[in-house]
Amino acid sequence: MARIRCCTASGCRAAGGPALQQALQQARADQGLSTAALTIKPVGCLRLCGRGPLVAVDGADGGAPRLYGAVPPAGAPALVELALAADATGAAAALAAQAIDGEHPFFALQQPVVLEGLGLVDPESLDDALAHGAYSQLQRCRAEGRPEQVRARIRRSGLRGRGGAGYPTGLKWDTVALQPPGPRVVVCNADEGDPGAFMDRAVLEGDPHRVLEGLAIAAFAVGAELGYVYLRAEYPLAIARLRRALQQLRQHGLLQHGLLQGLDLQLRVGAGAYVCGEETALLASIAGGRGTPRQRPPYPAQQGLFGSPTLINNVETLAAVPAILRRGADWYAALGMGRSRGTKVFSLSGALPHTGLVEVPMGTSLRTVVETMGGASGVKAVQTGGPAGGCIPAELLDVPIAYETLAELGSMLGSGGMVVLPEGLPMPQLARYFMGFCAAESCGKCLPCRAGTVQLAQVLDRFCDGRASQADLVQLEQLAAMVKATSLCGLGQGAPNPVLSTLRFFRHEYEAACTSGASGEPAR
Amino acid sequence: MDSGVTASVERCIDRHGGTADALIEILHALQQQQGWLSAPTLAAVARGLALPLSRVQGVASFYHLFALNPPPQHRLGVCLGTACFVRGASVLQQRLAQGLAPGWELEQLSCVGACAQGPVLLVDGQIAGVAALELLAQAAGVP
Repeated sequence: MARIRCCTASGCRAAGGPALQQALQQARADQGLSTAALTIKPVGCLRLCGRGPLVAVDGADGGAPRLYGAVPPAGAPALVELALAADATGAAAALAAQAIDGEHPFFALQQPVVLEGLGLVDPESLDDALAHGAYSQLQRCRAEGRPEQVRARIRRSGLRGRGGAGYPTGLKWDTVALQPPGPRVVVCNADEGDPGAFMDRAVLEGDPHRVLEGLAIAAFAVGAELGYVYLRAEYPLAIARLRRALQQLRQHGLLQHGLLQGLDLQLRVGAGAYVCGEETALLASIAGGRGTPRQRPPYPAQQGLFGSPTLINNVETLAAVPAILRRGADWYAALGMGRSRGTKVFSLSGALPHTGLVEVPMGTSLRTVVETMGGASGVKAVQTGGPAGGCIPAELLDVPIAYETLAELGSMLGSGGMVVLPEGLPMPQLARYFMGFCAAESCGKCLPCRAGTVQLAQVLDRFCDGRASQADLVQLEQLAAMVKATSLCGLGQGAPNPVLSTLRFFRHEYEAACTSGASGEPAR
Repeated sequence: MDSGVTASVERCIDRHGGTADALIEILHALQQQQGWLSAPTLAAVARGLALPLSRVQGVASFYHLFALNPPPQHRLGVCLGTACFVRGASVLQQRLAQGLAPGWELEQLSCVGACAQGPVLLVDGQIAGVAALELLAQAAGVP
């Protein structure tokens, strides 16, 4: 059956997706076709966001789908024609400039696990999600009735927290499950605040039921009856899709009796605070308070929301769970390298031609992702891990991507933001950019972060303006070390990383910014 | 005290279950309704939830997205995420800051997650693609 799939994620919407979809419907009507003869299906992210609006044409002949990008509404009739007859040469010629090579490494090297439903499932339809297997693993878990077995499978899969910390997921589930008897809570951390990261947004916008299934399986595995999704307010479409998904579960009675019986699922929307991605701050925010972190222990797994043992997992972690259970822990564990198993989703952006979403096995080299898939050239460095991460210079791009390898290079895997930095970008400026971000987002609870980030930003200003001294360089390093060592939570502890990382690999740029001869008192 | 404010706040609190843990949800709903969170609104929330005003004020002022002042007619947001920054968002912001048409206010946004499209602008909260940039600059009175 002929079908055109239209990406309806944020990126393609901004690029004119709704107008194209409307034009397609019009073109279908103009041809006198029924909705059965040609399906126009709204789907989630089709990956190459930079070329939006994207559409995938599944021809009536059952051949490989053909992808088109940046199609203006005027191109709709040609798309309809192509969907009906793959050999429509006139239409193919008319769309030649919009055609995207589906065999390009950007697509060919991807291994969709978390993203397997994205671009196929209608994100606003429960029926379609069910037809694609949503909730089947939850059903299986419940039928088998052995939470400890589910936890053992996740343990064996080697899955680790995809939010950045990389804590073994199975171990976390065990810790919560094995607390003394009493209520437990599960929380999906969807506060994707790292600038340059949009993996979780795409998953929530494109396949919300997968995330809810993962959360429900986690709840089953640890014995929780209450679940929250904490989603940042900056993602209005993701909020709308998740709200709708929850509403559908209620309407179909799946939450009351049936599949998700006994589980109360709630959505909580943030209000613009990066620090709420930190787990204790997130819990404070869910409880309606200021999002300030607290000291650990006790860890949330022991004492979290409303004092109950609380399991907090990131969106991508939870979205991997149904696929792991369906295809087997050993299958998942066979992907990857070392202690980093499975796949990782990255949002590829910055100075490169192919920007968008990629999912690759752990152990894939950074060069493969950035150059082969992303088509980047003239790369100065790649920034990974967001404001707590670092910059990996071009000459080290052959590093395989894993938690440990990136940490060794002074960066981190982080949540999956990957920003390609162009040749001309001065590194002190980039460090200053991140420090400005951290200073603005510091919650103010602990002094090293509250005052230290501001002071670091001031010192960095001098480097950006070329009026720094050698003493400033010394002060920069001392301050960075102090803020890193003494801050309360990950925001402060990670804030100096962009400075330390760029100092490690691009120290000459800082030295060049020091005014010659000025070596005594730092300029005020 | 404006009884209209109190009544609508109380309705909102009821809809959210009337418990203090829904404070942020309640503030969101009220801001959506009223455009911003005025002092009488916050006071009514504190009374309705039986919380100290300092707690309500503290939460409302902690989060960037709660507006404690009346909103401008139109908001032009510049995303300052890393990808947008690398693609010149700060230069764009500086240019826009030089002069906006009356009724427009410039705001800096943390990453809105449309990194592949950067630099990204938001007009009244809606992401505008690069294609709309020219039109926007006109609307915003930028030469």
